[in-house]
Amino acid sequence: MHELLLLGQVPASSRVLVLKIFAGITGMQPQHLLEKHLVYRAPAPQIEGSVRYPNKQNPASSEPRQEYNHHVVVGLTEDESGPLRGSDSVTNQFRDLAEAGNKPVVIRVASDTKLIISQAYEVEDVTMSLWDKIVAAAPAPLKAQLTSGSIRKRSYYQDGHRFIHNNITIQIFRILKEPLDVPDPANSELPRFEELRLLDDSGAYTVQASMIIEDRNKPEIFDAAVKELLEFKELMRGCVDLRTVDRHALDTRAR
Amino acid sequence: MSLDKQQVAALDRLRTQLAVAARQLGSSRENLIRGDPLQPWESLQGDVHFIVKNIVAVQDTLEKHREFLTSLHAYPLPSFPGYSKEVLLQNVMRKKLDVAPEDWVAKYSKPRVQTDRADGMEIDGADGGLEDKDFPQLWREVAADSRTYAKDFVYRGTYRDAYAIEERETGVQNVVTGLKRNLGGKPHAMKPSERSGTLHAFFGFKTNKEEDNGVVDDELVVSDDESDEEAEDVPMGGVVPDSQPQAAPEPGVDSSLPPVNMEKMLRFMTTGITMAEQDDEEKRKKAADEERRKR
Repeated sequence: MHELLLLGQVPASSRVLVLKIFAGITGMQPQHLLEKHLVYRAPAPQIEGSVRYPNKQNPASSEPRQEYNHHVVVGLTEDESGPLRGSDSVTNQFRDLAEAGNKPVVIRVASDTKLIISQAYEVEDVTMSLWDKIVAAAPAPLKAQLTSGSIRKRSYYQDGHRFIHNNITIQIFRILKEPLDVPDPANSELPRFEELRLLDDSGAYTVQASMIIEDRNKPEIFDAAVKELLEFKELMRGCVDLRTVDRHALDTRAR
Repeated sequence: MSLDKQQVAALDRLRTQLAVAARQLGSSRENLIRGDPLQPWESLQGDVHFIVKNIVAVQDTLEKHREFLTSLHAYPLPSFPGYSKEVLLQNVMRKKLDVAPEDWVAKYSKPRVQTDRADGMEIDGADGGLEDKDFPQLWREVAADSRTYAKDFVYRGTYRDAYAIEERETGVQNVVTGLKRNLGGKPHAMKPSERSGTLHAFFGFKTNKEEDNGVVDDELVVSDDESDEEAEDVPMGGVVPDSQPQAAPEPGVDSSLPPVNMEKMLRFMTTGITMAEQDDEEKRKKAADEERRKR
């Protein structure tokens, strides 16, 4: 699978306006989206079409494989008074480095694995951390990857709204950081929403218009997808300035 | 000269359309002559509608292929049965119009004596129908007849009402509008100043003639004066939500700051490396570069 995307920024003051415009264009109400992203390092999964799966020819190579930043995305629900709660929606995300060259949109290999986690939640084991529950629910190959994942200290929260416009997924969100004193975000309790700190103090929102295509090698599908995204970009001109970004800003390789 | 497929298709199309138009004209004519009693006017109007539609279709085709059709030339092949189909052959070969059509063309291509009238109608006195002088009378009667309905529509505010008369009668609360906004009560009658609108001009309420006739209702004038003070617009509460989020700033948000560089933020999103660490790394890189340059 490949992900095509365009990104833009919206100042906090025009958030309501932009949400309304999106609602009008897409004909749907904004869907609230609150996610916790746990970033861990592991070698790239073996995906068909991935540019850099280095040891394909020689799997027994002694050379250490390049590690990538993977995300475990946990959907959260906000509780009125208590801390945040994890929902059933848990996904393991892998994104490759974006394709090089002067492309009209950002193109990168994407691989999402949905985890069936509801059973894990049912085990009301207080001693089990969120991470352990996720690991417990993961299928075998991913489980190995999750347990071998070297560093999994980093995490952040993504708070925003999602719209669907034809084949385009529109997300408008901002990034929130963990409360100040969290040594191991993967294993600690989920905080309350108010405790989270904004990454961007101006409160600006990021707008992401993305599309997933199954087969990058079929030119008709690829061209149609790019065209649709660019048409959407043109449609949003003057409201949100959607653009491509430096591919190294989206570099998932771990250094 | 050989015709290509498209041209043959055009000719064929024209032939079909002409056949349809001729058939329709013939049958309508037959109905008019034989029909006793005459058809109801609705059916007559329907016939006329179809005739006009057919002629328009023919005209469209003629216009579309004008270049080809005007340059078209008919000539018989030697194999054409010239003796047995002599009449048809002569018809096809004839360059001039028939005598009767020629007369029609002469008659109708003359500039007509038009009577431009205030009501915008062009009346051809020669069609033997109503005489010119009858029309003002006819229009007066129309105005008188329609006034009762139009007056109700405009003066009582029905024209600007959000609900139809039927909906008002059966009860507004049952009407599904899909709107949360309160459409409010009946709009009040119009102010006199608004009466210069198109609808008024159309019905000619303000013409001097009618004022002279004493048509304008005294009662209505009184009610207009009362409504002068009332607000013009229905309150629009609930349609456009107040932008309160802007009014009350969120805690921890300083909207006066410029947004963070998007590339930096994306780098944080993909790798989890914080801004401070990114800045440190940049500084280190710069320092390393400078050192290299010094050496």
